[in-house]
Amino acid sequence: MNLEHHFSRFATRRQLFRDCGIGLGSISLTHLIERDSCSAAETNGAMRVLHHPAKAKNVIFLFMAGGPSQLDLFSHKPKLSELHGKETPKEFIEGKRFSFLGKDAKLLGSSRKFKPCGDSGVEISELLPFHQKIADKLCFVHSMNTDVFNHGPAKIFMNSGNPQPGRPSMGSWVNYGIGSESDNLPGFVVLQSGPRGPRAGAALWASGFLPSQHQGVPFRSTGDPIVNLTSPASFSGERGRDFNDAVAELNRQRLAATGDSEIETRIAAYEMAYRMQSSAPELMDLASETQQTLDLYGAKVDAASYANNCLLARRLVERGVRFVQLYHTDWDHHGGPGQTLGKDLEKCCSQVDQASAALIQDLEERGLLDETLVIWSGEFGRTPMGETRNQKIGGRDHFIDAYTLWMAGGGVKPGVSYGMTDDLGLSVAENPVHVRDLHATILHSLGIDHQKFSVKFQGLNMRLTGVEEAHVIRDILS
Amino acid sequence: MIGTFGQIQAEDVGNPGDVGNPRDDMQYNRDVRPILADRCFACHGPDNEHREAELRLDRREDAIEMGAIKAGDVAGSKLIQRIGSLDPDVVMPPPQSGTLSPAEKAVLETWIDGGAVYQKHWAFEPVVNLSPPTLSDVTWCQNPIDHFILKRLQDEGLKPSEKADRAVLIKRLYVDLIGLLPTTQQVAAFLGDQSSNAYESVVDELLRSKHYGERWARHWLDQARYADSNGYTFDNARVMWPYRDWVIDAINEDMPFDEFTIQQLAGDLLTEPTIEQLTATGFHRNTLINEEGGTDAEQFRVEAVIDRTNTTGIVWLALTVGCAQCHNHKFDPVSQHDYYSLYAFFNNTADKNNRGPEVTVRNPNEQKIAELEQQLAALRIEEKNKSAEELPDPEQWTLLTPIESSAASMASFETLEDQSLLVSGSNTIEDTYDIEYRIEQGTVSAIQLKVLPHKSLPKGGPGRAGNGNFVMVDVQLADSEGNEIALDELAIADYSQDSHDISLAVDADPNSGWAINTNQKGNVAHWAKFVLVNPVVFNKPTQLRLKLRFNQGSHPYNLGRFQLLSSPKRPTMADQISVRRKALEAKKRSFEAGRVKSMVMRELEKPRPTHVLTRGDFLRPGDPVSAAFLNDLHSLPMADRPLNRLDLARWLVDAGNPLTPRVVVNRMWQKFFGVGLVETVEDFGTQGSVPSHPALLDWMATQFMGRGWSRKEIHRLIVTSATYRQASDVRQELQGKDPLNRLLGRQSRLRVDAEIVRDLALAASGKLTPTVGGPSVYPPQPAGVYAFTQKKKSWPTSQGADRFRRTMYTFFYRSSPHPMLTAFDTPRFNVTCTRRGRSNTPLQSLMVANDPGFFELAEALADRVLAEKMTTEDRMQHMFRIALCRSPVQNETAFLERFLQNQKNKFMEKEKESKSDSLRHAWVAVARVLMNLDEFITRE
Repeated sequence: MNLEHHFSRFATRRQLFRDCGIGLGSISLTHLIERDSCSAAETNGAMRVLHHPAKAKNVIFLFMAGGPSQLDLFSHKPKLSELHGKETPKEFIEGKRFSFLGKDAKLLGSSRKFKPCGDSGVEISELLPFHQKIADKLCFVHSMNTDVFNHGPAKIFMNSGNPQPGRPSMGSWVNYGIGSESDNLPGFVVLQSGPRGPRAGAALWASGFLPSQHQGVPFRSTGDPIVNLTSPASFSGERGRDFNDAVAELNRQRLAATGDSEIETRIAAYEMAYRMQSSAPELMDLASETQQTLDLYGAKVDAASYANNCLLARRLVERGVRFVQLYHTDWDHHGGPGQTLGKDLEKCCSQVDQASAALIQDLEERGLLDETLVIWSGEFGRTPMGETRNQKIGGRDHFIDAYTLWMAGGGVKPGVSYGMTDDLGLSVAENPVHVRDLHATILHSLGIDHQKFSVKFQGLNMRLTGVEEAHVIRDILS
Repeated sequence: MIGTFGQIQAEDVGNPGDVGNPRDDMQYNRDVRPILADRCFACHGPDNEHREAELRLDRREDAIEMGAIKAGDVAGSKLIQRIGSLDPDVVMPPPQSGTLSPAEKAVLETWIDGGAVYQKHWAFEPVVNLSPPTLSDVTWCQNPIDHFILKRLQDEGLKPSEKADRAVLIKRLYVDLIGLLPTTQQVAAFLGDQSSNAYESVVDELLRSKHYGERWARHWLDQARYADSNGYTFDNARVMWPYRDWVIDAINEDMPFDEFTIQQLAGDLLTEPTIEQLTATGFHRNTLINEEGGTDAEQFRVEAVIDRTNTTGIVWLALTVGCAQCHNHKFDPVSQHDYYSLYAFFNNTADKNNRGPEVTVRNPNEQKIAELEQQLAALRIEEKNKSAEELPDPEQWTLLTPIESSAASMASFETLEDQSLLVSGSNTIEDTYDIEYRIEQGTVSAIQLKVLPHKSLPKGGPGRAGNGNFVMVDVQLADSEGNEIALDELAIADYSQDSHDISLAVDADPNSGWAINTNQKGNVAHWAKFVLVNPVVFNKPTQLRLKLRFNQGSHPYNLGRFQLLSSPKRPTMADQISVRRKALEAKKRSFEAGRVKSMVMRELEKPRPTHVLTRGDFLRPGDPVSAAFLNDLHSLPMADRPLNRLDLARWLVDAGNPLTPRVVVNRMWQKFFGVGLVETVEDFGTQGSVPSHPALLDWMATQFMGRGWSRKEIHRLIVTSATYRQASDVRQELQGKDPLNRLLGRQSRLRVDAEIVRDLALAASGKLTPTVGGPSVYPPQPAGVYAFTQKKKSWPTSQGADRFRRTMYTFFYRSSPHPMLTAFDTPRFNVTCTRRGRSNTPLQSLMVANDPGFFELAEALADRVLAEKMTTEDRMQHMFRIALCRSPVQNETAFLERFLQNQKNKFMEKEKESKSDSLRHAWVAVARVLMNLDEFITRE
């Protein structure tokens, strides 16, 4: 695959179809372009044909920004509680790097109660009662590991496989490769909740060297979801239509004079923008949901919350949007004010627990879970040792050697736990899964072979999974 | 400068992709290497770590020695035997990597049959000075460029296009050279200029324009990854605009490119460098800084050095040296050892993540600082000589009762029992409180302001900012008649925040003031005392008026609760001189804060050792290395001392370097034609694309050096060629043979860069502020941009002239750039960019159609033409010419006039607008349509 054609003209109708931003579905210029009918393995993206049959069509990535503590949520370590307050074995500390932790850090057992849940008996902490109820629908990976331990670089790494900004994010890769099925909405949408945006900002959903129409589009939870969606006052409604028609008419005249097919694309882009002006607000309007559904998530009409965003995520994949990413911030529980493993962690959990579980249930009830891969993860986990801030041990430092995430839906085995850490949660004991393996697995479930999916850029065949080894985690796939 | 290359008759036989027929004369670079590089070199190439069976096929002697190739003997060559084998254990490439096609096998056979002649990769061969090809008919040609282009077109049986319309030509020149629209007068003058050099005159004029430097600086700044913030997590603002201005100036002065290179890479190593030369080294300080807590500064220093190495490789050499960061380059002659030898040049600077040297570029207050220093010196002497003779009276403060209070913002005041005023209600960015106090008969020598907390205030106050702080920029006192009672510049407070000393509230500067850092000191009471220049004696009870002004600049920082007291005596300032000295020092610091400093490079005195980093990991240093050139590429006599950045810079622009001049002219070509002669402008290595016109590329490179590395000369050469002046309309016969237009049988229509999209709208609106350089500005941006960033950025939307500056001056936060820029493919400047994307998306449509920043320009264009006394027909013509730089054709005029009428009727009938409002709105609608046309944002 080569980027070169993107920098030049659209050579074919199909390419035009593929390249104009949001997958040109039912554009009105039927005399110029007809909708191609795709067979199951064909795509709207640069790959044209899937590498193998897909298990999932869409991805919803629930990004818990800051790094949730796996030891207080999913990774029950009685031994750690037993050794609570003791020195950490020397051999472990040496050679490891932490952002804030000193070498004399003491082990910190979790104060949370865990209970075995569902048929699988997977242990989940009391902080996540709604998760406890759907345990059998989830697939836990307890052996995640990553390369970088500062928030910005680690988030960029989780998204692009590289700690420095500049590479395409996975949502961009996916949209570039297989396109989107939405005619009226961007193929990669980003939603945000929590007290502030995620560190590193737009680098997390940037398209890097891929064409910029594949970058993630942030949707704001209130007001105009997309920047500049609303026409200027007194230029909306009928005059909005008049405006578009006038621009199209004059563009068509220029097209006739110059023969430049780029003008066709421009006309189509304006047409789609016009349709987005109604499709995006329609998407955001939760009033059309039943009270029962709103209650399931804990969502409220016209509010901004993680719960609302989860419900929006379902509405987005329902409408064919390929990749949805939710950021929920403030999981960085070091122990200082506002960062304790006490009430601050409780708060984060209560903000996401119900809605995350509701999303899985709702997708399932609507028959969407089979075709949607849901991932719940931070950029890293947190240390088994406690961190001292303000003379109190109230938190944990960043930890990249072993942490937990869960997945559900889209070809992932439900009720499974994969990978293990040692009794203290200090190292992976079995089946390590690197972020690259996660990337390979996400791509695999979408019908993409990560090794074959490359783009030539600056002399290299660039891949989401980079040049190091990466393995699809086949054991968790159904 | 260009040495004594023989003149060789040129014939361009490059391969522009799909064009042309297969040739029977097999050439290694054109025909064979692509196959070997793609299918064989990964295991049998320059990378010795991953080499299989000790075999390398990239060097003839090795391939022959191992028996893989027997020159002239196809059947006897093992290479041919293996690629043709049917045995899956024997066949090469291995079956899982895919076999060669029959056509590819045939190429290799023909090549070996012909003697297996190797060639050095074209880009590593020296630049050859070629004279343009001879043609039988040169009437179309304007300069030698055209000979190369025409020859190639003729070989393919194609003809060039007609010259573009003159109106198209002048817009093309303006947009390409200065990035602005010509005015209607400039278009008319050109259309009316019948002289033979009319076109050349416009070219010369534009090359002299100060805006030329802006337009071409922006292209360079893409490569320099210039931005106004640190990147990564916090992405705080940084000052780098002096570097940006240096680039603009250097390009306007047509600084030779070799000099331009040396100053940016090593200006600090020149003898007695000037401030400008130091500023130039900001080029490599544009790297990212991670300000996140708990970072390892060394890690991010190493990342910066890696980025400097990679950027240098791409910008000057178009070599992807970064591939060799972790392992030997698989395709190009750059080993990992070579990489760290190059890295060593940059590994010796003083900067380390968030700390690094700066140069003071300018200081508007130098004079005032000097004066203050004199006063301070005098005070210090006085202080020294002074004994403790002055034992002041005890203070006698009387609480004053407020009678009337008002605020410019209409905020409300409530008088509490302790006679303090509590403010509530309106809370604006700037506010002035005007309070009248009752004052009894007697003398007033000083006043005291007590700022007090209160539970109704944010965090408890005393201020009304979110954290309870305030910024009081001015204090004034007047009598009941309104006559000002002058306050001494001397003031004292129990506490002042850094850079917000109390004395700043009584100085002449309305932008500086007193604040109390509640984050550190908490939300507690403080006091400030002010001394009257001359004590005032009141013979009867009367009123005293106090005026307090607040202004933090971007957020409301007003005071929430306060009391006023007066004293008949000068206050107890036990040590008046020290108070006075502190006030002066604070003032001096605030003047010094006005200094503009730019980040620069500085070499460490004691060199930092460099090691190969195993797999690029800074925690795993390997063998030590020292700075060295890529000698396989081009060598220079070695100095008898360790090499430094200055040596590297000189090596890059040495006339014998085969890459730099080719790379630079190729990027110029890309800007004028949309695609470079070598399409992969960032990669001239063996994995890059081959030049469409190799002889032309070398001729241009030779001209560039021969004309003293002058960019303006090469730009002039290109834009005065017949090739450049062709029409861009698509021609069917070209589409068939050359759909990507690599043979240049026509010009191309190119959507302009993001900055220029808005600049053209600014130009058409008549609002453009043409000021060159200075601090970055904050044009309007849509609300909610920072909903997705970790820290909200300060975006004090520019008012007045700065609102309409060219878009290259828009403040660029890497984590949250202005949405208009990213919608139109501006890179994020985390890494170097030599080629921008050119997408065409609905988000762009929404941006130009609905963004308030664009809409106000459409309104301005409408108002601009409405201000002229004209008929409707003339007005429509005028607006069209302003926006599109040409006259409308009949269909366009007819359509637009109908549209105008229709919109006017609708505004009147459906929106019930008055006749004049609906007329204006209808013209705004027309202006908005014109600015949204494809043609408006396209260079045709």
